[in-house]
Amino acid sequence: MPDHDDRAAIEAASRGDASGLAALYDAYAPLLFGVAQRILGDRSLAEEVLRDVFLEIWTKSASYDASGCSVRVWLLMHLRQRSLERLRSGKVGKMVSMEDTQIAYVVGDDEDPALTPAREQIQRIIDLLPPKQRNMLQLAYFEGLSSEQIGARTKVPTTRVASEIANALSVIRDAYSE
Amino acid sequence: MTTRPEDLMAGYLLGELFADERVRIEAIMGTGAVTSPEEGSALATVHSVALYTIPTKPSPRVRENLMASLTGRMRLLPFRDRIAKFLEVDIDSAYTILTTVDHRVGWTQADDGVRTRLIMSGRRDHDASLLRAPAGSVLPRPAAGTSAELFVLQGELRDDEGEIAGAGALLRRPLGSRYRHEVQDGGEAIVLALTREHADES
Repeated sequence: MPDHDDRAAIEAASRGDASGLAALYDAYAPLLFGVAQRILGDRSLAEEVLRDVFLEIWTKSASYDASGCSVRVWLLMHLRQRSLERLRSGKVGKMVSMEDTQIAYVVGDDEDPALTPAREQIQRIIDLLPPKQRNMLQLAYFEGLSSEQIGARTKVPTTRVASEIANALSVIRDAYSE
Repeated sequence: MTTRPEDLMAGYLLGELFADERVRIEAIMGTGAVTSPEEGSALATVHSVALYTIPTKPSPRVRENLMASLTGRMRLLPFRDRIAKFLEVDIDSAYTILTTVDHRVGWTQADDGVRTRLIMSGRRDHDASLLRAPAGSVLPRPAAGTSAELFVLQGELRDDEGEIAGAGALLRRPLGSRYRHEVQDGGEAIVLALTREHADES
């Protein structure tokens, strides 16, 4: 969904118009649900988090500053935060090895086609990162691990983890354009 | 030396931020506001990683349940923060007030069907009440010696001059005002009224 449509949708939600939130849900639920499933490894919990995030956004919609970050980023900030909180609550029996999470160029028909070019682009960029850097980035984003935990998993000194992730983000920033 | 945005975002991903940086992130989660274009761009870069996943449709019942909540008992929650400011209460109290709208008891009903529920009395010389008024009814005028502010939560009100106020509108009825607000066709209006007595001025 174009950015201006997102902002119109959240503005409608802020007036209590549920169709605004419905439009955001239809545009972003497949992306957000895919991320929540990746973090939690559990479909039912991911659905709970997805619903909770949309209710949180509904409640906060009147406070949204349209000159700030995009609605998509705002949604993702909430989704990642709430998913990781659920993961850390200890009620999730997730067991996914990084080797199993390497994805191919996946463009399902479950998603708004407007997101397809960005998804293809980011998949290429991340696949071109050095393997250890790519793994560190994913362990941080999708598992919420600390430097120490990631260092132990990837056999990289703890003191280097943050700088490796920062370098990966720098590469993505330079290569990624929407 | 200033911190590169990428270093700050690495700290964000790792949950290893200084206290002031954590406060910034919480503020962004609150309103989406960023302090600079660089900060917005850095967040967009970080969350582009989310696209490195498989898009998946959730079960249709998630949307159904969500929409039932948004049109049901949670329909007024987008007004929570504004109501907190309007009544000068914390957001938990505002949440509670908004969810009492659908309570069945505690209302008094006038002849024209307008129901009133007192929710705060005597706080800073103000009384706050919820009003539920059917289409075609007229909201009660403030008593002599009182002024009122009306926050429209649902429905539409039309005043004597033909002005229409919808959900989210704030209307003022100053002391001595004879404004009349009629509920428009299309459904019941729900209004939060804050009234203040002006004993010394009457």
